[in-house]
Amino acid sequence: MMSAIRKLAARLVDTVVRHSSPEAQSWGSAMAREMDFVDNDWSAALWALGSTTALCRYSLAQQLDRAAWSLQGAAKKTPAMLSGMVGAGVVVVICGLLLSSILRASWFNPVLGKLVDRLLFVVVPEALYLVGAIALWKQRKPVALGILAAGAILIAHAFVHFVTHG
Amino acid sequence: VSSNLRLSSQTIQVLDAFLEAPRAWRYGYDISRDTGLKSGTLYPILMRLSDLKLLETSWETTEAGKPPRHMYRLTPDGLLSAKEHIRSWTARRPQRVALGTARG
Repeated sequence: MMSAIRKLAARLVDTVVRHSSPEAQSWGSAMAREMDFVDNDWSAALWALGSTTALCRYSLAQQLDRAAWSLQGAAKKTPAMLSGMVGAGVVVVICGLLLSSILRASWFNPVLGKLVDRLLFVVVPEALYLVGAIALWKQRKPVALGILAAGAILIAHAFVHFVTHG
Repeated sequence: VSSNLRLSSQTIQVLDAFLEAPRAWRYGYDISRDTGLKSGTLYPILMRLSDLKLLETSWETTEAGKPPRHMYRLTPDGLLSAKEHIRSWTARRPQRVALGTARG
């Protein structure tokens, strides 16, 4: 017949095991099972308390490890993403220079100014970004993501510009 | 790998308990009784040894209806490492070690 203390101790360990990570659950089940072999009820309660502490520490350490890994992964991807954004910036600068030289050309019709402006500052760069991102997606995903992020920024900027300046 | 093992006196006690019967599987509660370590101290050591691949674990198959028990024993690397660590521990702190002579 299981005493109330032992039942409570068993319930405590079971609850902690249920809420632990899969790796910790295996260890938790092991500790819970060993409690059946502890003779004294109070010793069983102490065993349960020690086990829950050990499980919590193990789960916490694993979560911290995982967080450190994902931070490391993000740190590795950041330069590649930045290079994609820099590449996208170069495209915009080239389009700007092209636009500037077209606007100054003697043959250019000023009526078409707005159209050429939108074409060279939005349509052409965005099309190039899309093609570049698709081409790089499989082999250099972070670079492609950087290009897409730059594309999103450019679209947002153009939207605000067109809304405020017409 | 074994250089990552933190050598507390409790870890040494656990390694020493395993070296009493190097190839035998041990239960957690039995190790606790042999070493006098509580579950909250013993299991983190076992987990760390297992993470470092110095300890192998297995679930004992039991008769139907009874849940299995978890068993532990040192891997070949764990055995070498345990012997080495206990040797260096006893060499460094001969007066503090109450574990008996290092085996092996």
